[in-house]
Amino acid sequence: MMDVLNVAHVTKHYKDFSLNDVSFTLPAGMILGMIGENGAGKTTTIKAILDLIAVDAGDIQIFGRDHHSDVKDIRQQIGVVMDGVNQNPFLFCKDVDAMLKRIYKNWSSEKFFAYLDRFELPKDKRIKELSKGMNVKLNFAAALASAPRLLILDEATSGLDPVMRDEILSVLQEFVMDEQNAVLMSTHITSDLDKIADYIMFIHKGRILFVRSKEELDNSYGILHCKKSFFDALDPSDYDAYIKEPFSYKVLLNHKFETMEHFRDLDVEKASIEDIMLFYVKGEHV
Amino acid sequence: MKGLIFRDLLIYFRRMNKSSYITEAVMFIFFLGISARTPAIGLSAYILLCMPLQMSAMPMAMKDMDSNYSGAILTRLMPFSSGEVVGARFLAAFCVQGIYLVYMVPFCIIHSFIAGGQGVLDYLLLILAGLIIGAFLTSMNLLAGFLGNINVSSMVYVLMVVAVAVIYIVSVALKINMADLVARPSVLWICGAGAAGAMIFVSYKVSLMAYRRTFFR
Repeated sequence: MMDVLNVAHVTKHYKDFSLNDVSFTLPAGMILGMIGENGAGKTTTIKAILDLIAVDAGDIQIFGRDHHSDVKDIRQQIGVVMDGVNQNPFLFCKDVDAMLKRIYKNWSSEKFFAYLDRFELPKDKRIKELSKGMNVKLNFAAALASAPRLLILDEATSGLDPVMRDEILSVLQEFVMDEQNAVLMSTHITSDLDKIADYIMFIHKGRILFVRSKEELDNSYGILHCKKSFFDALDPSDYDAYIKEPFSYKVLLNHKFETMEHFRDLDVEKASIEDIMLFYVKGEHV
Repeated sequence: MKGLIFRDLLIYFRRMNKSSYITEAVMFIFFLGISARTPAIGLSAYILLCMPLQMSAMPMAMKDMDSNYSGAILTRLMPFSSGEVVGARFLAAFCVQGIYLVYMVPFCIIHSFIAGGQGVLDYLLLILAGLIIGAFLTSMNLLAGFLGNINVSSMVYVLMVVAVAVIYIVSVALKINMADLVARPSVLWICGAGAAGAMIFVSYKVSLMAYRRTFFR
């Protein structure tokens, strides 16, 4: 399977923040979810990939080409949806087609208007009259109609209601189904990633804590509620982090099936992406 | 690049509302009214002052679109180089100038019926002078738009005033009679076109540098 995106040892220093040695790959046909707190470095990583900022070190290849020297050709094949970055409010929805068909070589007006119909967006309404959710849907229609091979989403679904979010997630799954396209998705709505992500990348304070497949996370992590005596009996290698509560311990097991086999009748909960993130950020580590 | 020019023009004209067109019409009629009483003042005020100011407003309007409505970020995500982005904005702004001929030509035609006394060549030269002044002001506004810093933009305006003062001092020092120069229209045309051309060139080069510095940090 070809890598759509290859990020190697990317470093960017600001006065008060540094992105340190970020490396990951995104194979075709996959959805990679980026998680992390505000200010962790998700948007900086996306900006570096999109060549909106110059990196201090490292290498970024998109479709096997250098992201900086081939930026014009690469951008023809990238769709981007960012939270709060909407089309001009004075334009009509149909104007977006008139404008972007003159910019993107692979633009499909047919596809664009099909998405407008699917998302129930009015063609003859000014963009300033649209709600936040409708603006997000219009941004997705515009991003997808240019026939991109890589879709980069930065908090893109944050203005959508659950029903519409579900619809967008379906669209994203359809998008990667042909095994040629890929999605890089940064979001705080981790439940979306629980539903569709193939890989999860966790960034914390400018560093990647892990990049793992969703399947691996599901099979490895579990949450155990236990008393102090039981917690003391656990080997530190059995868990990644724990949170001390008034009368008990919440433990993030890292090999839940092995631990469950070792200690019979344990009640281990499934760990969601949000749980894992909370344990890593707020929990205590061994 | 055509796509970017189209985008800028589309946004600019979609932004204009009925009141913008009514204002244009009122000014058109107002200056024709003045022309009926004082033909030379009405004509020159409309063609050499009012129209250049109107036609040079586009860069600042687009600057507002860029900073307040994510226009700059969207542009950066499009498949264009920095040179194309800046160049397209310049070309779109000068296209707007061309569109203002829609007001200037009918104004001159109606003026000739009301006031008379001017030949076709006089009107054409006056329109050309209006376009040159407009190009000068437009490129100044483009520069201010790309610099995005009110202090720097003010500096540019101050430098212009200083340049005029320097020219005056040099002419006094070298005993050049400015009245003689002004009396020769060819000198005026060369100076006007030269100043506009130089301003466009400097404005484009500085705007490109400013754009690269702002968006590629």
